[in-house]
Amino acid sequence: MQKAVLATSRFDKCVLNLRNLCKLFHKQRYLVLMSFPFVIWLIIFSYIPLWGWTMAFQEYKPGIPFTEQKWIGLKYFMMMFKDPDFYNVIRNTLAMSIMSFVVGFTMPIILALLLNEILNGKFRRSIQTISYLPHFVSWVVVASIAKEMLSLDGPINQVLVHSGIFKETQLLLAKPELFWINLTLIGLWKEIGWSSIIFFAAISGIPQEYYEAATMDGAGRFKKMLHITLPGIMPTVTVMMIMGLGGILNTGFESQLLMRNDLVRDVSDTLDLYVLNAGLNSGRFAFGTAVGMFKSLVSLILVFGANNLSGKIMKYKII
Amino acid sequence: MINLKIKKIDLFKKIDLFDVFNYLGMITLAIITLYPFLNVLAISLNDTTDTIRGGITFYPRVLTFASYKEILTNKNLINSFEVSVLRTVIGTSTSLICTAMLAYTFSRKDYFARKFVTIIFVITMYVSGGMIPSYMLIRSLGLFHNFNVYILPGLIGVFNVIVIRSYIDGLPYEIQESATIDGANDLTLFFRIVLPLCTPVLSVIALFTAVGHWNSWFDTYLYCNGDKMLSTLQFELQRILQSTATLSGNEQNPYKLADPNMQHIEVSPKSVQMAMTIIVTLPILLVYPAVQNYFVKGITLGAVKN
Amino acid sequence: MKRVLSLLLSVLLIIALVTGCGAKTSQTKISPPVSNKMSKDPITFTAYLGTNNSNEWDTPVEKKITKLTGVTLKIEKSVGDSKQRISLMAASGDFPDIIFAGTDLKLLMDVDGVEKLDDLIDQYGPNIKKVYGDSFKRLKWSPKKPNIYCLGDQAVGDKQGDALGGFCIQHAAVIEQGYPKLRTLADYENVIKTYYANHRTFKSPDGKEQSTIPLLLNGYDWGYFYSIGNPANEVNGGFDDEWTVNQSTFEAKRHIITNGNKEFLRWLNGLWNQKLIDRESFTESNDQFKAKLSSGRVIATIDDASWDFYGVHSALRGAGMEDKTFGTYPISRSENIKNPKYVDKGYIGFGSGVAITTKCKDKVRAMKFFNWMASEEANVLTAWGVEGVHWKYDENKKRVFLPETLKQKQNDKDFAKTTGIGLYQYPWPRYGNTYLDSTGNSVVPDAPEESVMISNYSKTEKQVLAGYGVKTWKNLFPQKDEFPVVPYGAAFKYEGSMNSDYTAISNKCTELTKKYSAKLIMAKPDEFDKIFNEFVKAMEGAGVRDIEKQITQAFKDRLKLWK
Repeated sequence: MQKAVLATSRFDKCVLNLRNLCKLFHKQRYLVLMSFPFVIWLIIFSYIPLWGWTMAFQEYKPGIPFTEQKWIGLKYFMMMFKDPDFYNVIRNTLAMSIMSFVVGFTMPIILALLLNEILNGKFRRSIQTISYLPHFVSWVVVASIAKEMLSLDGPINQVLVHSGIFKETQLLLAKPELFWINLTLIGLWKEIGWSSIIFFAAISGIPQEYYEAATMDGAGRFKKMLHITLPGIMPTVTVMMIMGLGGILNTGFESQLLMRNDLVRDVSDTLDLYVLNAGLNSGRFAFGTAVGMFKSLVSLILVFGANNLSGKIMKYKII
Repeated sequence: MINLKIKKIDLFKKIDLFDVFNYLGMITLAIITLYPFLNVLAISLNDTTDTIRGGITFYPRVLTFASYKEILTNKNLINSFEVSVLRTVIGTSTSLICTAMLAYTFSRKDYFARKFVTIIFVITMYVSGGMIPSYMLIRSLGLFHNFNVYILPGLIGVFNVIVIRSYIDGLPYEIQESATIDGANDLTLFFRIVLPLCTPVLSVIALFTAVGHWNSWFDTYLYCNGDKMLSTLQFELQRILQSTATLSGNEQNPYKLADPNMQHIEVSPKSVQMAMTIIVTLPILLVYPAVQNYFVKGITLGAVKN
Repeated sequence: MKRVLSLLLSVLLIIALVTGCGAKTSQTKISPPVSNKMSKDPITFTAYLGTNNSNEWDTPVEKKITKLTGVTLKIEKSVGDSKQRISLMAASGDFPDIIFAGTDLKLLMDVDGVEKLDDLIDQYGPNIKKVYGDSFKRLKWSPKKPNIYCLGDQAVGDKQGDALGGFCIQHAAVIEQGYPKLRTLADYENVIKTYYANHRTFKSPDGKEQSTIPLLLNGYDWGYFYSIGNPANEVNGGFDDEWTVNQSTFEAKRHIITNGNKEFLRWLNGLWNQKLIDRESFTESNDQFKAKLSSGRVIATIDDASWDFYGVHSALRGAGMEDKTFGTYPISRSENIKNPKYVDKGYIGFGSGVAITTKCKDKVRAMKFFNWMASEEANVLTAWGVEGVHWKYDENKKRVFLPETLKQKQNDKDFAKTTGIGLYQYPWPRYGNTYLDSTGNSVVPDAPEESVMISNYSKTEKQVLAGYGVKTWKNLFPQKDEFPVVPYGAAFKYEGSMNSDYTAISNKCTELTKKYSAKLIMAKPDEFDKIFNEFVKAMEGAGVRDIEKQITQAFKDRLKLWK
């Protein structure tokens, strides 16, 4: 017997591993059934189209076959990194992203927690429904309402002047320093209800027994929140946080496009707007692809980084 | 004696300072978030010429249903409504079951391919080849003018998978362990034990997915153009809008508009745009209360154990 | 035998024309089309016509087109961004048979997707040559690509309509001051100041008391071009959007950094510092701008976008504030500069028009269809509708709409979509509003005749015009015969055929223009020059001199091509 064990060669080890794999495969065959068809789906719909990335390295002219495209290597990447506007735009994008992330992440959680404290079911449900109505109103409409609110004749200025904080009405939309704050608050107004849904659902997943047990132990409202509710939704919170970090460069452009004006251009241009202007509008397909690749790279680094960090701190990872 | 004491504590629990502020805060929130919607409703019911004067708050100045009439009398609307409903129902249900299945496999820490599958999916959340390759892929798969183009490409949303997975992570693992000991296989574990416990998160994901299907029109535009049988509601509504001046992510050459010879590009009146918002949102509002019932405050482990 | 007969017929018709009936002096007669044998077999062409038209081919006009030509068009329903759609088309190779892509046609040309039309027109398109007449040579695409790739999208020989929008002043103001002289910027400023001094507030008919606004600008987003950008050029006699072009050497410059326009911005800066310009001019949306105009509070506004005023004037009249509607005046920087509103640019429909793709299933038939669209029969059908259903000849052989059609035209917002009238004019080859057909009627129903314009004026307008001694607003401005015809057309028509580096620089310059204009207007007077120099430096740094040279060369090259 011992002789057989000592005499295992590399080949034998391989065969052994393969056999174990097959055993595992068979044991978990249902799990495989529930996942691998979708992997194939993924490869078809998400990985095959990635050939489009080659466009970033070519002077892409649509319609000409692949082999005849003119190769320009890293020209667009160089252009991107040399452009001073690019760094300005990154600054803006990060600033707005981080602000809206911090606010747009913590507030919905707080809202969900507070809503949870409302015992009257009817009242709670109506508040919930009303709170996510702005999510369905398009940015076009929200921006136009926001502009009227912030105008010289609008209610916010009325409050500022009547309460004596300012002597005369303020051009709230013209001040670059206020742009990011305005956008963040308006975004919060629009999305707080909808974003809180998922946290509220997570709260519903916490077994009632825990709360009952805590009541028996004499815990008050806040103690329960701290020791039961928050830990209970921690997986959801962590997940949302990690994925949110990954999307930090994806602020989009709709809200900035609608709320900006020529006086605040330096702070309002985001990466997506930059791509639109310098890329697509100028007929340069490849440029848009190059910036897209850059964004993907940064996002992936952030997501995997945050994931590892969360593994170390919270002992919970997505991957 | 003891019974009375417990009753007293219950009473006191009902009202305290925190509750007062909470209720007040919620009412304020409701007013702030309700206002834009009321504003939209008011403008949609207001006469188009009068709307130009601006200044409408939450009641119409010159009441009229003309904007709604204009949209609802469109001949393509009824058919596209049916298509949208069909798409939403089929799309959401297929997506939900597939997403949940996949999420379950992600959550099983003992699954040998777990890391591989998770990573390969998560990467796709942040990478994309762009519109041109996707268009050509759909074409080569023969999905043009095909109802399946609404179902297949959007089958799995990785975000949804992750959310469901983290919810499953929050469930006590003992439930599955004890079932395995009793001889259940993976399929049974999923369908009969885990899935029923996931109703809150499933209803949320169902809501998100359904709204996504309901609101999408770009795929109709690219892949099913001109096909009366496959046109969706949102697409038909977008055509009614045809508004160029409000949002053009591509800042058009303004001189084209200035051309005196050019057909006067119709910028849809504001009131019509608002009416459209209401028409689109209404079905979702009607469906949500049904979904909300699943957000029952907590579930009792006791019931499950039995 | 058939051929001989049709030849005979054509000869007879031509003879009839030469000896024929008298024509109205201000309008030109079309000669009848050369008989063109066209089969009427049914055929369906797929078409992309942009966001203007995505009809189902079910209106009376469209059905009549099929009856007369056998052609049915399956039009792609277009929504949103055209450029994106065309790029996708080019990349995937999925072209429709017929396409109208505006200036984005270049994207399809780059992938050899557009058919050269020269030979097809020579053989099957005599009507097309007739329609475009002298301007036909302008259809050649560019010096590098001297063939015809698309027809022109403008009507040929259009007379411009009435003047609406520009340097506007409220009627009440000019009436009160006894119709003061309004010729220079200084005059304009004076009238505003005088009226504002006596009317600090204003009470609207519904009793609300509000402050008046001396001058309102539409400085937000693309409104900038109509309120500040183009007017800056116009007051100096320029008219080519962002360019000022020397009409003899064709040297082009971005006008905003020239000295003349600097002075316009300085003038606005002066007004801003006297607190005469509404503070929200740069931040409010177009809707808010129109709302303010409709409130009656605005004394003066600079806005070249005439279409803004349709809604505004309706709203003002509906609210009982007819005297607060606006009149427009021929303002320049000084008396020796003419306001260029009615400069004749010649035919500028080139570079954008209907085209046939290389994937068209029957190119000859498509060209025959284009040829038919250019005929008198088609022009009347698409502009007036079907005879007997929408219009008829009255006792004087004059073409008039039937009463039901007229009513529908005025009240139904979807008139074009339900009848098909007006849907197939732009961008198809067609005659303009100065042409008469073989029956002596105008080819187009709403020709801007003076009598028509006057009949549409309100009482207040008539009063103001009488005060200035003219019959129409148009009469206040120098007419087109006071200017030489622009030989190269219009600058914006050239931008589509420039390369992508040009476009990138041009976009950058436009961004800088908008940013700095706002800064300059709002600056303190003593900082104005410093900021202006900064502006010029920034523009030069972005490459403005480069694109100026490029477009100048483009004009010169194109003129050689058109000789």
